[in-house]
Amino acid sequence: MELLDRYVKEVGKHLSGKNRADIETELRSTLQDMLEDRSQKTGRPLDDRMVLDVLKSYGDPKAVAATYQPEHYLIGPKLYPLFLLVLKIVAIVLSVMTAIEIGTGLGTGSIAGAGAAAAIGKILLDFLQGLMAAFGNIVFVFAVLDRVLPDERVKLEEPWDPAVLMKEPDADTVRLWEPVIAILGSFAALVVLNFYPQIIAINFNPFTNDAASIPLLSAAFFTYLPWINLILVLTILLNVVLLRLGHQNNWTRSGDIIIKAIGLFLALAMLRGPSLVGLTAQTLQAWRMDPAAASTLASLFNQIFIVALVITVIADAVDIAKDVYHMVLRSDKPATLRFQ
Amino acid sequence: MANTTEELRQNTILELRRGMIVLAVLNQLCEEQYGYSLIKLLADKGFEIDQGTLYPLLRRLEAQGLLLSNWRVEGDRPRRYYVISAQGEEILPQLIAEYRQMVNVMDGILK
Repeated sequence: MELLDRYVKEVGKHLSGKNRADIETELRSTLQDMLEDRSQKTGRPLDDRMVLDVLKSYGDPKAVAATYQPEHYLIGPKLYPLFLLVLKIVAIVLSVMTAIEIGTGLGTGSIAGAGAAAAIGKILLDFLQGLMAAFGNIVFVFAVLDRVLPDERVKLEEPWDPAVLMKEPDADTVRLWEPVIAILGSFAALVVLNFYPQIIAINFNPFTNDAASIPLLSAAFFTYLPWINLILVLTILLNVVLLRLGHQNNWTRSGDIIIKAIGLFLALAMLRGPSLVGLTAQTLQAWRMDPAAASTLASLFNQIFIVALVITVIADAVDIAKDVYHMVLRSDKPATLRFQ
Repeated sequence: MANTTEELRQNTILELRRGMIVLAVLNQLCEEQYGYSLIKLLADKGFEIDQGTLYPLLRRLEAQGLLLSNWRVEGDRPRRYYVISAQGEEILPQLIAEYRQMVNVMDGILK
C-alpha cells in the first residue's frame, strides 16, 4: 500500500489547501475499493503489480488533481473584450507614433545614408520594447481589476430591457470602461512620471552622433510630483471603488470633490510658480536653432502649458460644481443603477 | 493542427453525455451511495463514467446544494456517502420531464 499512499500524496501536491485532505481521503478509499474489486474479480491476492495497474488506469496524478480545480483566468471573460480593445488602441497609437518618427527622420534627413537601416532598426526595436512594456502594464492592471471587480456587478448575460433605451442617461450610472480607462491612465502616468521621466523629451538628430534629448518638463515641475502622485493614487483608489459599486453615491462624489480640489489648487500653484517647461530659448539655441525661432518655440510651449493648466482649473471647478449639484439636489434619489 | 475524425467524434460524444451525467447521478442518488458504488451502479446499467469525471461532479453538485454528503467509517475505511438534497429532489422530476421532451423533439428531428 506504500505505492498507493505515494500516489495519493502526489495528487495532493497539486491540489489547493482547502479541500486537499478531504479529496485525498476519498481518493484513497476509492483506490482501495478498486483494488478489492479487482482482486475479487481475478481471484488473485493483492500485489504490487495489481496496484500499479489500478494506478495506471486511474491516471497521471497531475491530471487527476486538475479535474478538481476550477478554471483559472488571468483576465476573465467579463473584462477580456475591454482588455483586447485597450490593447488594440495602444498598439495602434504606438505604431502610428513609430511611423511618424520614421517618416520625420526620413523627411528631415536625420535618417539617411549608410546609417539609415540601423536607425530604422533602432526605432523598431524601441517600438517592440514599448509594446512589450505596455502589454505587461495593461495585463497587470486588468489582472488586478479582474480580482477586485465582483462577479455580480458585471454579468455577461444580464436580463436586458429595451425600455432602458427610452430613458434619459442617469448621472449616477458608471459605465464599466470609465473607471477602467481612469485606472489605466493614472497607472501609466504614475509609472512614466516616477520611473521614466526622461521619455517626456524632445529629441534632436536622434540617429546621428549629434543626438540630444531636451526634457520637456523643468525641475520645478518635479517639485510637485508628490502631489501629482497623491492625486493619481487617489484616482486609482476611487475608480476601484466605483468598479466595485457600479454607481456613484455621495461618498464617491465626496472623494471625487477632494481629488478635484487638490488638482485645482495644484494647478493654481503651478500657474503662480516658476515655469514647468524645461525647454527654453537657450537650450534650443544651443542646438543651433535660430534665436528668433528658439524664442518663439519656447514661448509656444510655455503658453501651451499655461492654457492646459487653465483648462484643468476650469474643468476641475466644473466637475466639483456638478458633484455638489448631484449631492445636494439629487440627494433624495436612491442610487440603484448598475454598470451599463 | 486540426483534430482527427475520431477525436472530433469522441469530443462530440463527451459534449452529448455531459448534461446527461448530471441527470443520471442525481437520479441514482435518491438512495445514498459512495463514489465507487455509484460508478459500479451506473456501469451495471450501461452508463460508464470515469472517476475523474464523477468525483469533481459530486463536489460541484454538493456545492450547488443539489447533493448532501457525510463521512462514515466502514471497517477501517472512511467513505463519503452522497444523497440527493431536498432542493435536488425538487428539481429532479423537472429535469426528467425536460429530458424526455428533448428526446421526443430530437427523435422528430432525427427521423
